[in-house]
Amino acid sequence: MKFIRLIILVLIFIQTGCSLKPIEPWVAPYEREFLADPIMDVFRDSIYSDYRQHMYETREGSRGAGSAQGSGCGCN
Amino acid sequence: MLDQRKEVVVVATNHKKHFIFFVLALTSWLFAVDANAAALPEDRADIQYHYYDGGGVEVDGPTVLVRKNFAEKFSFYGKYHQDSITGASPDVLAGASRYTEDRDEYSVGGTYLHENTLMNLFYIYSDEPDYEGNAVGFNISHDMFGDMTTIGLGFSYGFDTIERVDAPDFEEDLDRYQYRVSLSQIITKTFIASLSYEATVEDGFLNNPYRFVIIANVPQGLGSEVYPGTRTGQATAVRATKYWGFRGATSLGYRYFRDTWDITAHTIDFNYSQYFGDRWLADVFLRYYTQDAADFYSNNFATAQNFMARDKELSSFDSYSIGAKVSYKLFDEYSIFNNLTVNLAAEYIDYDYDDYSGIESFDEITDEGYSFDATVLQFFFSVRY
Repeated sequence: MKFIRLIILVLIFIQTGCSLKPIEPWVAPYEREFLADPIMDVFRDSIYSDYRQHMYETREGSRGAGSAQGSGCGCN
Repeated sequence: MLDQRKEVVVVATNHKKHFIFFVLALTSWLFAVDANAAALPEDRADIQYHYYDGGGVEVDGPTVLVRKNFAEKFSFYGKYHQDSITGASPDVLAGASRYTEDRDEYSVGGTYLHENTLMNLFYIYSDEPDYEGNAVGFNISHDMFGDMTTIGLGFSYGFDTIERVDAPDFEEDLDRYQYRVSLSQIITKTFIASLSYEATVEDGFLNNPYRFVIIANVPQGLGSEVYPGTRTGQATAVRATKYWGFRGATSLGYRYFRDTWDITAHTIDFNYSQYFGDRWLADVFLRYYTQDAADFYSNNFATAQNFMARDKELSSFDSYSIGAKVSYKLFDEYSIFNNLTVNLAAEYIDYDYDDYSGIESFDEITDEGYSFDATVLQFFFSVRY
């Protein structure tokens, strides 16, 4: 948890621009055609990927850092 | 072992302090804004039929999802999902007859766009005969550095009630706190990478009430598992996605998980997407998962312990899956239904347990590892409007 707090504080410090020069984006907005393509998001169909994630979580001993939030069990 | 327990208790009792820190961090974030670029999720409606068959269990049912934007500032969604479950896994089968039950899940949520910040609030309710789940959560994401970088933060609180269909007086509670941080970075015109972390703190009844342990070859009867009352898990995931010149994209993901029950898990997944002509989109994917057992797991305990589990989800096992998904656009781009697609996905999953024998009756305790395979089908229509 200490590590997360440190990361968050550093990011807030950077975001408020306290002492950093502005960073020039090296990929301009008009150059993001491919990045914006739906196939760049493996979780593009949430109705499909959320179910897959729930299916894995009910049969595995780990969870978190995935694409979906869920609830309930359905695990017998 | 004792140190781990202490750690669990400290983390569980400090979650309110963490939450206050989280809120302060989020508030600070809102005061730091630059150029506008974040976008609301697109309007869409999906209807799905899903089917799972594996390990003596069949699950199927529908899912419906509708999402709509308002005033270019808000996006709301509603979702309904049903699991109709038939059968039972081998350890449950050993002590109970086959059964059929439904799980209904309802979720609603809203997203608010402010400058280049997206704020999302959601609520999920899940109901089945012996389990009621509730979860409420908040996420915020913010684009910065010329929208090259997106940072996200999130928190969820879940409160569940666990019952037993065969014991009307049985009722236990479980609280769940989840904290999320994510970072997404544009690397080049065709390459994007992300890093995410999530801590899950659980406090309450974590057992499956129907499962049992075996001590010196003697099954102890349903509900004989004893779990610790708290658990903290930490998951860290990285993903890299690349667009290729032949109208395809590949994505490689890895997740590392570790918890205070001594479970360590690794997940690797690979996905390849490819357009064919104007109407077809195909995906193929591979996934590998492996985990170690919880430190209080045993297939057959020598003597009774303070904590005991024989749940196969807490044992040591490997799993791999392979699958494919095909999407077809039903009408050409000049039609008013040009964004209507029909989709079919199929997946094969193999589970291979190292020290879980899986028994069909009390008389069959063996040293052989249990294994099973599963088939998953998902068929859905999707329309964007």
